[in-house]
Amino acid sequence: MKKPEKRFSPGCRGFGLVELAIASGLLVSLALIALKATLQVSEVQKWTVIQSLSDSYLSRETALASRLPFSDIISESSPWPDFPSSESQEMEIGRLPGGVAVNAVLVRTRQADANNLVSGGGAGTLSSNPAGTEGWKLRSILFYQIGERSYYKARTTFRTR
Amino acid sequence: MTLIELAVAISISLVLSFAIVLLLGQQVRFYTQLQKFRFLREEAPQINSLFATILSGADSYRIYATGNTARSPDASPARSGTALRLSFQLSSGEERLSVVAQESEGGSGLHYYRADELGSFPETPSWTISRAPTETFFSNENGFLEIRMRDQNGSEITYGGNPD
Repeated sequence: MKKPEKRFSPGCRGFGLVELAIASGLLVSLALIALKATLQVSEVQKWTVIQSLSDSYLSRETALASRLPFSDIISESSPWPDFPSSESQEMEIGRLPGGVAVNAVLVRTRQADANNLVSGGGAGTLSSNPAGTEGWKLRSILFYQIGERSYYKARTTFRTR
Repeated sequence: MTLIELAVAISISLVLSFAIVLLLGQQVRFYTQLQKFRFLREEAPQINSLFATILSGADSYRIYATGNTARSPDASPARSGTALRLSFQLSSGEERLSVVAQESEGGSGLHYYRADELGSFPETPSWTISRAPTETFFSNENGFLEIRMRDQNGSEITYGGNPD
């Protein structure tokens, strides 16, 4: 006659080991979840901060575009070259804790308003634009990277005379 | 329980304890790191918003080397400095002055001083914009107002703006 098998239950020899194994498994799972959450929060924080830095940097561009004398805007050495020409430069847009520089590529170009006279780069005529007003869109585009993703942000300032 | 089982149980307990300590350490490091980003994440956008509101209401600005200089009536303005004097034209035609200054004495921070109708500034700040920046520079080098702020952890952010 076959002897009935003894059930493996609390109190059995070696059951403590099983409990410890389960506890360590749970702990490792918890650690992995905590690590993943930490990395996610860290990434989101970095994303927010770099968006804030890029916004602040572009506020400089808007301020400069609003203040630059009109003669400088349309000159040969304009910081906003006439489209399709453009000026591209790598800029430091801010620093993270520890003084880690955050860099981005700034591209500037300007586009004439369609109603500018031909001499002002547009297709307007003296009948459509009798006062000969001249308008230019100054575009600043900032290209930057957060993690593996690339972003760009643009600001346009319209100047007339 | 045999001696071997006891040894294995103690070893696993030790490993578990070590893992818990490691986890705790990681959480502390993470919290510290979060705090270091606080200036850029929370304070800087609020300061920017306040500056945008204050500057949009101002009619002109002058930059001074220090807050004390900005508050004295005969001081000469500079191209860059740690204080900004703003002029507000009231509807009555009167001029009202304010000073925004980064100061280290009397509670380090970015302070706002509002002059009375006679143009006298109070001894103590009217209010504190923020205590987070340890350095703030105002500059007019590029033809517009630039505000560069740093905190104690080396974070740096720059804003540009113009009064209306």
